[in-house]
Amino acid sequence: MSLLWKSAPILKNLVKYVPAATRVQKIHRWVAPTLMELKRREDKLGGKITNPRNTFLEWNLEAELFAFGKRLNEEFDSDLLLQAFTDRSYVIKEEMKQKEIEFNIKMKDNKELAEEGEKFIEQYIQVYLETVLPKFPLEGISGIKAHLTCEETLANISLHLGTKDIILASEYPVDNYILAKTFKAIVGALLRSAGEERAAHFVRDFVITQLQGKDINEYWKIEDPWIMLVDILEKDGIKIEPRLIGEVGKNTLLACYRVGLYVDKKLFSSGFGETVSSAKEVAALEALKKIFGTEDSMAPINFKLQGIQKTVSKQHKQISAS
Amino acid sequence: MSMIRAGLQRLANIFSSGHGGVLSRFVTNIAPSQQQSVVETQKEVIATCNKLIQEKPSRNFAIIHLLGKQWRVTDGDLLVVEGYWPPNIGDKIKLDKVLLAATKDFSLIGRPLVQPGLVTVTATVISKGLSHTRTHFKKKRRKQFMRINFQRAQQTMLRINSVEIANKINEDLRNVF
Amino acid sequence: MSNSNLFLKSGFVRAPLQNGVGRYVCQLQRIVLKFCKSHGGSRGLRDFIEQDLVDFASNNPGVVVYLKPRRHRSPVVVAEYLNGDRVWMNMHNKTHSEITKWIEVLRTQQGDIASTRLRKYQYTDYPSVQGPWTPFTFKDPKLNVAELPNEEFGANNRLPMSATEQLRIMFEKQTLDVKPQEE
Repeated sequence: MSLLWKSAPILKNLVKYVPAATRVQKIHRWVAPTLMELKRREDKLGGKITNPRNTFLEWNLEAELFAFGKRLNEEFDSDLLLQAFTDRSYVIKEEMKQKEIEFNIKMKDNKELAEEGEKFIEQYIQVYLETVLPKFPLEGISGIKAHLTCEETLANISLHLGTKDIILASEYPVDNYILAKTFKAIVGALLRSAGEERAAHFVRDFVITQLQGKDINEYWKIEDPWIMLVDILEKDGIKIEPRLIGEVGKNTLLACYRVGLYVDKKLFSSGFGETVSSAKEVAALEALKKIFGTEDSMAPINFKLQGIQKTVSKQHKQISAS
Repeated sequence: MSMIRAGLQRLANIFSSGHGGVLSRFVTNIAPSQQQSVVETQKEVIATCNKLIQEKPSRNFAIIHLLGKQWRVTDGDLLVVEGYWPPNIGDKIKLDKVLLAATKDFSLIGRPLVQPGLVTVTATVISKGLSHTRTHFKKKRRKQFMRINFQRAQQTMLRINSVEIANKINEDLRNVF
Repeated sequence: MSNSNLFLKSGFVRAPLQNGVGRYVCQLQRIVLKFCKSHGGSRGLRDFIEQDLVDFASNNPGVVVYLKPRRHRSPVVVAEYLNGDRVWMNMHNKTHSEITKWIEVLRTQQGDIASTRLRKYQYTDYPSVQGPWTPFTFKDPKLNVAELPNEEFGANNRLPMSATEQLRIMFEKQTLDVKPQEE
């Protein structure tokens, strides 16, 4: 303690030179306890209650369904659209209710439509990606497709199309599974009511555009890029030669190496790394990107292709990822 | 230029005794191997660029002039423009004032604008709204002067759809407007 | 920028669901007009409903419009957006034309824009197209095999020409020019 007092003048000086930018805005001392008390009272009453939007007085399902189609510029069959928004859990709940009052109206859930839609989405995305990325191997394309058709992505799309409030389900707010399923069912309903081309353009505009601004190489993990590169080039009888073309900070923590890959004594690609081997791997990855036409400066993916493309799978290279 | 360089080389030979001569640092050892006229080089460069546009499509970017500001845009960018601007939501517009356009391999620099019709930048107006409330607070001490003004600016959000080099460089200057 | 507001969030430019890349979708999904049928404060909103509402609804089929009359309470407009935002706006004593303008703003914005202070006015996924600069860019590959210290790479070639050097060059030039005349 005495030491602290002795060093007091120094500390005082230090305090003086604290820059003004680190100054923190004053928050009153009552703010935190008040918020905590409010939270405690809320929890006591059983947590935050979110009322489903469709139990509000200002709610008209028919109008919502009509506006849903108009907003997306699509012509839906109204019965099919209602069916697409009906979840299995809602049907079960309704049947239980109807049993009590001895009443019976048959309701259809969206299972069938969702299956139809899912099949169509998968097929169309596959064909579209093959057309747009002609040099990219099939493994990579299936990786991108897996990302686009995963539950999380589809649920996000579905949420932003405004399905959350319209979905007829026993729970609220609905979970990702139901959101994604509803989106597939909507595609299924569109497929039945407006035909394949409209449905295809719908999938293109809302699902495939999610690739905008994304690095498509991220969806395909290449285990050993060097071996794959050598395999591909061997088929064409090309030999590749790695060379160390730059090093900085050797034997330090911040070492950086640059390895270039040469074909016929011409630089093909280069990569950086903390060690020579990792730099070589990065260089091989860069070379693969160049071969697959997916380098960082690739031409942006065309999101405006019209109609449904024909399958061109045979032209694509099949590369064993081992 | 070449005359001067040759002269300097001769001079350097005179001055420098060995490697560390006085003038050694002004003489570049990477002298151009063959001399070519400026016009020829120009033609060659333009031909190469035209070939690159056709054969090797890459991501392009452009610097456009919009409402008194310059923006660097590429496909899929978002811009927020402040102030009154007539275009409404959903409108597709073409941004014509292109100051610079470039691909991966070369850049076209306008003087001040790139040849009209060469580069097409298209955009969609996504959203038009008002910014958050900005407070302008003025106070003079001991002068009984205090003013507080609130203001919100109009904001228009744009999505850049495409930046394309549509035409061939230096080919028929047709009037696009 | 007024940065002082503790509860004003700051953010960056974003658009929901890559809007505008594929097709454009109007982000307003429903709008609720709450008003009183007899109170004077609702006069403007009542005028709007009588004169413009049908046009508004038919021009924007993608927006669900609800009317909610309530007795002796202030008129209110609530807009709900596709990204889940909800904007509540009091319309008490506002005139017909003011309300028309405010509803146009609610229709055209993509969410609750005013609740965040924008830190940047531009967003890009591709900050560099021609490749970022690295310390290795424009480096002479000879440097890799050169043994340092090296006269060629160690030379300071960034200094401007000194006056002495300029004079010497002028002098030498003179002598060169003079010589051929003598011959």
